Order: sequence, then structure tokens, then C-alpha cells
Amino acid sequence: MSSSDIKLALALLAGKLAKFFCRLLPSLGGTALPGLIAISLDKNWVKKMVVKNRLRSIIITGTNGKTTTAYLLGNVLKKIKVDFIRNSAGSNLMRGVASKLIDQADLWGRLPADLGIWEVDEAVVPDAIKQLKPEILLIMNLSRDQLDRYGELDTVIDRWQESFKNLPQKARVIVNGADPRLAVLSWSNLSRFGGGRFLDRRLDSFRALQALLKALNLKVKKLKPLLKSLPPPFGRGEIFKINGKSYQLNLVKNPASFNTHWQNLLRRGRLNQPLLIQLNDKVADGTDVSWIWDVDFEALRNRKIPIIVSGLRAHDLALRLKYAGLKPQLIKLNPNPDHAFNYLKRQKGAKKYLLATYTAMRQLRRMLAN
Amino acid sequence: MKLTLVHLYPKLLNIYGDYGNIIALKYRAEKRGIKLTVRPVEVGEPLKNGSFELLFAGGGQDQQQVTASRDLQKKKMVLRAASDAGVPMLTICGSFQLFGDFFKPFAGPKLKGVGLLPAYTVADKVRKIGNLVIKLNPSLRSTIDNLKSDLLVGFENHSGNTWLKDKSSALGKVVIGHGNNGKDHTEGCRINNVFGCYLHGSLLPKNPHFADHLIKLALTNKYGPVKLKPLNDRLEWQAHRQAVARAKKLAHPLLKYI
Repeated sequence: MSSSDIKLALALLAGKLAKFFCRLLPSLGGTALPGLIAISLDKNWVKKMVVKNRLRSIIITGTNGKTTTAYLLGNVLKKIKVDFIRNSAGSNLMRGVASKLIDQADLWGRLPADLGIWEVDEAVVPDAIKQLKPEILLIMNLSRDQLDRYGELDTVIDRWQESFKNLPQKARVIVNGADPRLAVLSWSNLSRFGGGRFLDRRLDSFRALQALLKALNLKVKKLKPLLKSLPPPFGRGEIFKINGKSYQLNLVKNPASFNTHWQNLLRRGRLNQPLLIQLNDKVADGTDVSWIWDVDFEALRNRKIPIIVSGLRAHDLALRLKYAGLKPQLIKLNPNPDHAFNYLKRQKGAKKYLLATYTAMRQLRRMLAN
Repeated sequence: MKLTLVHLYPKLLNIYGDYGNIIALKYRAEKRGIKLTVRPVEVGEPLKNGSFELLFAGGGQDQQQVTASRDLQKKKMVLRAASDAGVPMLTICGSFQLFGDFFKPFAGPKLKGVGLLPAYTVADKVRKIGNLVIKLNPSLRSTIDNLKSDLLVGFENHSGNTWLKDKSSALGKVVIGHGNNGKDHTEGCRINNVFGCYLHGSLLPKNPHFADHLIKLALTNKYGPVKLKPLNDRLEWQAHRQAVARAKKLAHPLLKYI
């Protein structure tokens, strides 16, 4: 064994141990902790695992739609019985990728599949390219979500372009033609999907999926009925039933995603259904909560029943609602997520809605699944 | 009573939640029966002398700074006159940089500012990102009514390092975070009633003492000395204290991991 192999094995073991302790103490929470430990022991750990297993990778990035696209692709591959690994928990920093590898590898570092589908945060793309050496890089779009992690949009595009030099020569870059910001990107084997005007999130992901299948040279029969039969992905409109009541959980991460939910609620005449919003400010949520001031909370002004407000930044959110013109007695400030969730359960109504930022969504999901 | 607030370049400089400051000023004025009209002024649009009692400008990306810098030169004289007349102006991040002497971006030539604030800014490789808590400059503290907190709390995200020609003109002293440059513990700048800082978050909703100070300055200029009616700010102060507590926790070497 070379010293590099030993380092790989030690980092893997440390990660596996961390995973074990995380299971014992769920309050530690992070599915990302094992990966974080492995990477801090050996910063090229992911790369070594990739080389060792000859892992082929598809990286999917962008502000919106990466989870849905990765989820759709995963389900299609499952249907045609292609084995793969995917960071399905949606933890899309390098530590999340590493955690998934730790989870899937045996003690000798062998993986059960030779294809990885990696949903990767916009800021992490350069690192992910270096470590994963992907066959395909798919870019959905770029908007001003989580500026706190990477500064300015122009800088992000520059960094992506710069990082292309680390792509394998035969790698394919697939870019959403509907996002004009991405037009400046260039690569020897670059193709665009979509094009024209941006229409709809789901359609965007569907087009991305078609582009991926084409790049992988896969022909799938009856694609549309298959996709229609799928339940919504993790925290994206998932529905839970508790005591005959339905709870719909949705991830919100920027003004656009919030505003889409208002439109849906208004369209279906559901503005006056029980609603809980949980705002956290951990790294995976985005540490800057300023963007709530760009959300059209004024759309909720005519609500007649309370909004339950919770999370690490519950007070900021409550204040936003106050300044949007909601009656103060309708703002139920309940920073503790357990208390807030219990309050929601006691509310009358058959359909209840939960909107949450990333770590908040995971917390609520655990409560809903119990 | 009536006030006109100019929102400078709302389309160009509108990164993350700057609009919350306008919402706060309007809400807090109108709760007191003061009509506040918001007038957006974009690039190429005229800004007339004496046509406003309050001004706000937010931040943008480097590329937008170029456009803003060019247009600001045409508005320089009007802004200067407003500053001399004591008109309260709040500039945050990108506009703060351009209200100083110049902003030197990482790539490309120096961008001229309007020179209302005695400061200059040079872009740095490292971005300064995170919660920012400052203690207000004592000279300012004494003029603020109903001072329930001598802090301001917000969130900073900038690559520029701003240097003050005279440190006593700082808006405040950094308690948590980087501030102007991460080195000399100053944050923001103030001359006359022109304020510049890196605090967004949005700043004014959860710092109601500062929001009211701006309104009071504007009213005093127009109508003579006034005293603002206190509002029920329970939620505002809760949010203020909570944000400070959160910033403290995240700045703690150990507690931040829990």
C-alpha cells in the first residue's frame, strides 16, 4: 500500500466513524459531517476515490432546477436498470459529495456503481470539476441566489469559464439556452438545450433531462408517462399525511421560489390555509437573509388566518411580514421549530403548507415523516 | 407633512434586499401621518436641485458600478448642494463606494466617485462576507432620539476595501465582522447628513433608531425641529437583538458549530 492509499483508507474510515456517530446522535444532524471530515483529512480524497473506482460523473449545477433534473435522470436510469450514485439528499457542497461516497463505499473504498450524478452548488463547480473530472457538466441557469457564498454573478460565470480548463478533453458541457447570462460560456464540446424564452421550471428540467439522455446516448421509451408517475422530489412539493390532514412541504431559497408559491396558492384559492414558514441562516440555507425583503409578502396582506413564523431568523421574517402590512395578531412568532410545527398541527384545515429554507426543510421533513 | 425620497438607480443598484430600506422609511413615516413619496431616478434621468428631502441608494455588481459612476458625475453638483443643505442620504455598499472619491475595481480603470464622503475604495481579492455589528460613533449617538441600542446590525458582502481619510468620520466601530476594510475597525462614513455603509440585511427595518433618525433629519430640514411620535417597535427591537445575538454566536470560535 502506498502512503496515498493509506491516507485514502484513513479518511474513509474516519468518515465512516463520523457517520456512525451521526446516527447515534441525530441532533448532530449533518449528513455532510462525514464528508467534511474525510475532506479535511485529505483534500483530494474525492479525486482519489474517483480514480480508484474509475467513476464517471455527471455534474448538474445552476440556481434553480438542479435537484429536479438530477431526480428525473435518476428515476429514468433506475427504470432502465443503470446503476448509479447520486447525492440525493441534495447536500450539494463537496462535503456532500464526499459523504455520499463514504456512505456507498465498502471498507476498501469500492463503490457499487461506476456512474455518479452530482447535484453541485454554483460556487463549488470549479472544485467539483477538479475532483470529479466529469464526462458531462450541465448548467441549468444562474440567478442571484445565495450571493453570500460566492459574491457576484459575473464573478461566478468567470470562475466557471476558468474552471473549464480542468475538464477532461472529451467532456461535454450542456448549457440552458434559455438563460442569456450563460451565452458567454464557451467550450470545444458545448451544446445548448431549451433556447428562446424561459417558460416554466418543470419544463426546463424536462428539457435538461432530454439533453442529458441524448448526451448519454440513451433512448427511453414512454418517457413522459414515466415522469408523470413520479412523486415530487425531496422537499419540493412533497405531501405528507398526518391524522387525515395533508401537509405540503416546499423548499424556498430565493424571492423567485417564494413568489411562485404565492401564485400557486392564490390561483387555487388557498391563500387562507394554515401556513408555516421557517427561515434558517446556516451555510446551506444562505447566511444572508436580506433577500426576504425582495419577496412579495405583500401578496399575503389579505390573509385572515395566522402565519406561523419559525427558525433561526424567525424575527427577521416576522418583521418582514409586519412591514408587508399583515395584521400583527396574524404573525405567530415561534422560533422553536418543534413548537411551531405543533402549532401548525393544531390549526384547523385539511390542507396545510410548509415553506422552508434548506436546513429548515430537512428539519421539518424529519418531523413530518415521524 | 410630506417628504419626497429619491431612490437612486433602483434598477441598476438593487442587490439583495436594498428595497427593504425604502419599505421601512415609508412605513415608519406613514404610521405618523407623514406622506412619503418615493421617486425612482434611473441612469440618464434628471435629478433636480432641491427636489427631494431624503435619498437612498443601494449596491450593485462591479459592472453596474461603471455605469453608475459615469451617471453620477452628471448629478454631482445637485448631490453636493443637497449634502451642504443637510439632506439625509443613505448609501449602502456600491453607492457608498461611489459617494467617496473613487472606486478602484479589481480589473479596469479607477471609477470616479462624487466625493461627498472623505473616503476611497480599492477592490481586494478576498470578499468580506458575513454578519456585521457596529457601535455607532459617539458624535452620532448623542443626536439620535430614543436610543434603545447604540448598535447597528446587518450583513456585509463586498470585495472593496474602503479607507477613510479621517477615522473620526466613521459611522461606527466594528464589533463583529469586517467593516470598511477588515483592518482599522471602522465601518461606514458620515459627513453632514450623508451616510455610507456596508450594512444591508435590510438595515433600516431592524435598526429603527437609525431609520427614525433619517426621517427626523429630513423633517427638521423642511419644517423645523420635530419630535417623532414613538411607534410600537417591539418586533423591531426583538429582531435587532436577535440578529446581534445570532451574529455573536456565529462569530464565536466554538459555539458557531452547534
